[in-house]
Amino acid sequence: MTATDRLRDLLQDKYADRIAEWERAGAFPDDVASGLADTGVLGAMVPAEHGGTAWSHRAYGEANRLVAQHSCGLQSLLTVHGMVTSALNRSGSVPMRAELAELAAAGTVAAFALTEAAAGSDVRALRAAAEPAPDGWRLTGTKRWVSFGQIAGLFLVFANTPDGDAAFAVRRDDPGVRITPEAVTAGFRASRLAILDLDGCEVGPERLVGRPGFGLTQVGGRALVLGRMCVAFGSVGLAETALNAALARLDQPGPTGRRLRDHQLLRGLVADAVVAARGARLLAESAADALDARAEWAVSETLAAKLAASRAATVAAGVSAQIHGAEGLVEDGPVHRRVCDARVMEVIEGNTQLVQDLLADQVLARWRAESRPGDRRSR
Amino acid sequence: MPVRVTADEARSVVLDYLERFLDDVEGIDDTPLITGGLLDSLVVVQLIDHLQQSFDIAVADEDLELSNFDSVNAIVGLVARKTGGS
Ligand SMILES: Cc1cc2nc3c(=O)[nH]c(=O)nc-3n(C[C@H](O)[C@H](O)[C@H](O)COP(=O)(O)OP(=O)(O)OC[C@H]3O[C@@H](n4cnc5c(N)ncnc54)[C@H](O)[C@@H]3O)c2cc1C
Repeated sequence: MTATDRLRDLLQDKYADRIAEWERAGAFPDDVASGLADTGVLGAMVPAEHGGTAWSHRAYGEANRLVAQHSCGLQSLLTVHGMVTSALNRSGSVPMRAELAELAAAGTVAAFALTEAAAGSDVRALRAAAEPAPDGWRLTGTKRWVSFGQIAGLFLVFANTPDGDAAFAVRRDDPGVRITPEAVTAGFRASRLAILDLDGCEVGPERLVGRPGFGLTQVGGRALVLGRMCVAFGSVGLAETALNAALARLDQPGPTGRRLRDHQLLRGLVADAVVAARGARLLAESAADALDARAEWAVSETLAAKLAASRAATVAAGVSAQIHGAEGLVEDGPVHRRVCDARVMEVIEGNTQLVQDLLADQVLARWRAESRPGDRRSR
Repeated sequence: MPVRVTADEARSVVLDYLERFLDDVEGIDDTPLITGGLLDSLVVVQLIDHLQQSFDIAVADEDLELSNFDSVNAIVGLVARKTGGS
């Protein structure tokens, strides 16, 4: 039995009802991660030497797809937790890496704190500041929309130092940290979003992750590549569940014996949604394989997967809602929830238009690389 | 083991790479690439991967200084040091 099989069984047998209840209530419990910890999924991006389970990107993607079939909000825990643990493993100091075991196995959640009120898609507009202090750094600034910020034990915070942008590991109980609940969003509404205020928060030198000048690239940029892969797989999971619900409804006999499946216009909607979802799944799997192989254009493939999958989620959730009529509009029902969750998929880890822009850069670069007669040395 | 790379070889690989994303790479040897906003953050990540693969070198955390990456000349110098060239 593989780790993903175990996760699938656990979700089905033990968690399906509870997850549905948490979604209805609009809040995951404080210890939501401890159940997941048993499956090893929280240590997936951490090597064994630091207490992790070292899954491939493909396996982690699959885990994201499976969790999203039950709850996209819970799947987003895997997105941010995976991003932060992989960043700490790659760029963290020796003492911070030694703490990865706790994040990998003990159910402590790691959160990703990049966005600010005036720095969403445009991360270069970052205002949070980190000043060198006698014994480390002093951080000041306000981070918004931090998924699971209400319950996280550790935050990866991005801030400007005098030598450029950088990332820091901040603990929930560090001095000068204030956490307040964020406005509840229509999608991912149980994800316990928080506002993170840092008011002269002093941390030791070991909390610097990576190097000043490389926070948004080596740490944040790489984390976002993984995050986009997770969002792609999560979106596929959402699209597949929405489609299944739509198909079940289409196949139900109506009062006169006629089924919705006999309406040609609906057949067209479903066919398009299936193509979108199936195509997105293949792109997501291809991107994960490219990341596992460290392939040259893996970044480009990941952008393509995120773009296609988040849009497939929107299409499939919309079709499902239409087919469900009034039932599709019940405020805390699963059909409408998927519509709201799909909206989030098109905003987080790069909104649809930004991802289109980045992908266009990539495909043009690839075209240039492949269509050039030869390299500079031979010209 | 990295193979010794001359500065000219390193420069041509770096310029070839930058040409994928920038329209004109002639005369940009000292232009700030990162702090000048010429390269998107994802492209910087890809550039570092490309250097590691092309020259069989490992870019370690200690190497991540703007003075090693912010211009073509800086990168050429880093590659030369890493490959034992000059
Ligand atoms: C449920 C949820 C969870 C989140 N979790 C986190 C988290 O854990 N950590 C974190 O740091 N942030 C998180 N965020 C924040 C999220 O990353 C930002 O909302 C996102 O980056 C967009 O920023 P913004 O909301 O400021 O919108 P803006 O940047 O103002 O963009 C608004 C719209 O403008 C358009 N637009 C923006 N830029 C461009 C462009 N370059 N080209 C073309 N069009 C563009 C797009 O249509 C975009 O949707 C979360 C958000 C939500 C809703």
